[in-house]
Amino acid sequence: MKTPDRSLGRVAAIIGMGDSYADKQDVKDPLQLATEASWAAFKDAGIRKDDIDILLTGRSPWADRRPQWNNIFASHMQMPVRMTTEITFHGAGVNAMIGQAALAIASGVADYVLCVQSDAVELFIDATAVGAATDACPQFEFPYGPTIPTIYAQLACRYMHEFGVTEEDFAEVAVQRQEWAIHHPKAAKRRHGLITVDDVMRSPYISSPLRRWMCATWGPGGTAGAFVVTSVERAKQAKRPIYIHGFGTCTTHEYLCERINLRKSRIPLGPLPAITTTGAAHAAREAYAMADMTPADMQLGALAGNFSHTVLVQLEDLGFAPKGRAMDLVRSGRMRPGGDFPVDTNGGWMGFGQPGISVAADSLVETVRQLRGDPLGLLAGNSPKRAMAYSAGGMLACHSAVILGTEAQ
Amino acid sequence: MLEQGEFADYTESFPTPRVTQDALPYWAAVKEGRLLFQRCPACRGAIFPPRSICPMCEAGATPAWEESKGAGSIYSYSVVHRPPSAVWRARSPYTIGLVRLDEDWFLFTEIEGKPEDMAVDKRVQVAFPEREVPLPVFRLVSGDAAR
Repeated sequence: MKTPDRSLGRVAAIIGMGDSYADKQDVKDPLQLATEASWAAFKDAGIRKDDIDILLTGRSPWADRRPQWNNIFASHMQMPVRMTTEITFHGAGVNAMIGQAALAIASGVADYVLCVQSDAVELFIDATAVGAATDACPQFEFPYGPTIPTIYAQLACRYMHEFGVTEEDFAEVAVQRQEWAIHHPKAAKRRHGLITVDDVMRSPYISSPLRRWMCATWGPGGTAGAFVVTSVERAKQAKRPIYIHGFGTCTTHEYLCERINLRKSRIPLGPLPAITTTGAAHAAREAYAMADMTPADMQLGALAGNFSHTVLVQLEDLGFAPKGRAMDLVRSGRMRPGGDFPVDTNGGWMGFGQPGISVAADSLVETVRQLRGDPLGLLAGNSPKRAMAYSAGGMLACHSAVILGTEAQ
Repeated sequence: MLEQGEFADYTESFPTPRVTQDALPYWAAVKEGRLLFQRCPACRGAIFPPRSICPMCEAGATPAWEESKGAGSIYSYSVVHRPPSAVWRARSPYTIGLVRLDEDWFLFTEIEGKPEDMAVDKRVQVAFPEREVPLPVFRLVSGDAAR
């Protein structure tokens, strides 16, 4: 397989970031959220709306599922552009916008690319009912009555079975996410305060072995993140550029019933059939290779841990722990507030919450804010200069990893 | 509440499978209480979900249908305590898992039985209970259930 061109990790940077938030007291729909975030990103970048050559979004928000949502948004902004498209392989597409923007800059077809995603599930739709209807196979899964947690729980069951991990371990993951979330003013679970392993173990099963505290929640009400990407040369004139050092993606399937029946893969996924190694491993390998960095070089992490066990699997697939051993890293305390490798500093998908497809943009917002030393919540104590921002989408299906940093390579 | 697409009515009724052309023989057999899967005549691999060309080898062969013995073991499972919508609530808790058939293919399916009896590697057998929407489900093999 062709290896990524290392020069691509030296061509582009984020020079503007904007974020926007909504809740039940301050209702905004996805168009309003994306508009606010985009204007904030233009201002932060010191550019005009009319400087944008290309508009990228992820797939249409859950709370506004009109096809061609990217074009609807360009139109809403009265922002004719040379090109616009949705980067859509579930939530991973939102993270992958950054890499696609860098490719557009590298090729010379654009000077400025706007990447934006918003959503507001909690304010507009019944996500519990709609979720499985979207992500379960409509032929071989959905008729049995699963929820999204039920589908993810199959991996949790295998992960426990294969590696001897326990429900109490999953509880500890939830406890650590909450330690960050209580400091973030927009985090959905902030109001619950600190929790203990006992609190998690007393919370009811949603879909075993996953208890309520081991799951992400549908919230905060709405969020958006917008990013202006340009060349490294232009970025040197910017106030607070964040450099794009590497990016990689991978998708292996759509439905779990397809994934478990996968017997051969040109992308290494360990011995098949199995589900405990995901395409995140490949996405991360490509990103590290492009950046000429290793997992040990990362000083900050943003995962896509919508459940306790996906936090663990991702830590392993992203290279931060050997397969089956992520709990050692959790127990080390390095990822907690005050640790030397802060991870999910906004509380992650479990603590900050999952406002919809924009959750992947929230992770990027948090990464950029921490690298700039400007978080809404708790400041990472180690002054991180390099970060891994990873997003997953679908049922363990789609993966995108981006390595960002404060210094041009 | 905004438009929710083609599944908009499932909260009031059990959803029916969105049947693909490739899988028509599978669903016809389910109505007769039989479980079918496909096998590649070239690489001999078991294929599921159904397809028009084997995805596992380069032969480009048309898969052949084969009847499963319906015997397998639990690969993974989850007991659903918070169902997706109102129609499922009366049935909960119920167990959904991945079953590995002895012919070496997997089904995402319901496993009937007490939640406390479920365990990875326990033996199960296919069943076709009378329901609004006919589906193959699995039951713990007696004897194994008590173990």
